[in-house]
Amino acid sequence: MILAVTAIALLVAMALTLVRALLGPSIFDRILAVNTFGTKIVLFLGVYGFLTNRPDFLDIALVYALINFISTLAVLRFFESGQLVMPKDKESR
Amino acid sequence: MWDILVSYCSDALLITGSFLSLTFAIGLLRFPDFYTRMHAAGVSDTLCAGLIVLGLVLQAGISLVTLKLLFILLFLWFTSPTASFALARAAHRAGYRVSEQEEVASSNS
Amino acid sequence: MKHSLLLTALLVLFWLALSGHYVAFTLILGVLSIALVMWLNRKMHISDEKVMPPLLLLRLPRYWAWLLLEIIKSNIHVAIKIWQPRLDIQPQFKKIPSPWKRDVTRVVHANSITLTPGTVTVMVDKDTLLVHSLTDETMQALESPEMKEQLEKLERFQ
Repeated sequence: MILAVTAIALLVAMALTLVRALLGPSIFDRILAVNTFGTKIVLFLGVYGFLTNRPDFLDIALVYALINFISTLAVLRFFESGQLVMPKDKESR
Repeated sequence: MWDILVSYCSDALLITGSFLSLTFAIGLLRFPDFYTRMHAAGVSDTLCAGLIVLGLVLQAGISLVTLKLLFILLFLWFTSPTASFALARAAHRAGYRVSEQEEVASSNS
Repeated sequence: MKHSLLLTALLVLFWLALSGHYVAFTLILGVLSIALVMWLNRKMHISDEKVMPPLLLLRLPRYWAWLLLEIIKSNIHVAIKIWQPRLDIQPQFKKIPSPWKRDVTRVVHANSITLTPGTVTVMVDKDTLLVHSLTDETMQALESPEMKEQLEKLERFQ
């Protein structure tokens, strides 16, 4: 029961975050919204795993937490330089 | 007796966590500019995540599941400040300023 | 060398905790993946004594306990600010001194600031951090001598 309430609260929060992602106005607002949306998904996956008694969902949540972090950094890099590999990296190699 | 106490604690943690997740979402919509919205997102990444995961930990008892939950929390708490910092720095570098006045104030102090 | 052993032990424990299936096949895969990670680590210098001094690991839990309290306090502060009908915030940039000899301490300092809601590190320079703060109060908390003391202890411990 409480788990269901938590899941619904998370879903509402995710919906509101999506509104911010759609409104923008700047690209950074959108990235911020998507990043926190990812955090919420991780939490939701955990709660959902408990709700349906399938703890396997925790593994997905774990992987999602890492992918969310890396994708945020990758997107930021892409917007800063227009490419995923920065010139700096090429030199040091 | 003990079980009931633990389950009440877990309920309280989950409810507070859900409340905070809504709080952050409202802050994200209400605050006027990018940097202040970032602070609202900070609420969701730290205490909200912590409370919900701890609530789940109390329900799970001691097992591998608990360990996995704690790892999720650890990852979130380690990665979120790094991601936030990267985001703030990128915005600052791109010249995203709130107002000229604030910048002047910062360089004087 | 000592660091590599410590890291390998941590990775083995991590793998065992996450796997849950202890048959020969998965164990071999685990050994292979740990070897791959250690090889990459050596090649890319992701983690060594300079990045993560072993002694720091012993001291960090006490620092985290203190940080957790700060995070809870400022979380409540920011949550109240969000729910207030009239927005009562004073967004501001400020430069904070961060005179630490070691990079690790500076990273911990900057990350702690970002982790506490209401303050975000925007730029890291050689001995200053550019911080954005939501209200006057959260900024004052950063400049309090308490945080400096905690970080000093952390630096002395390495």
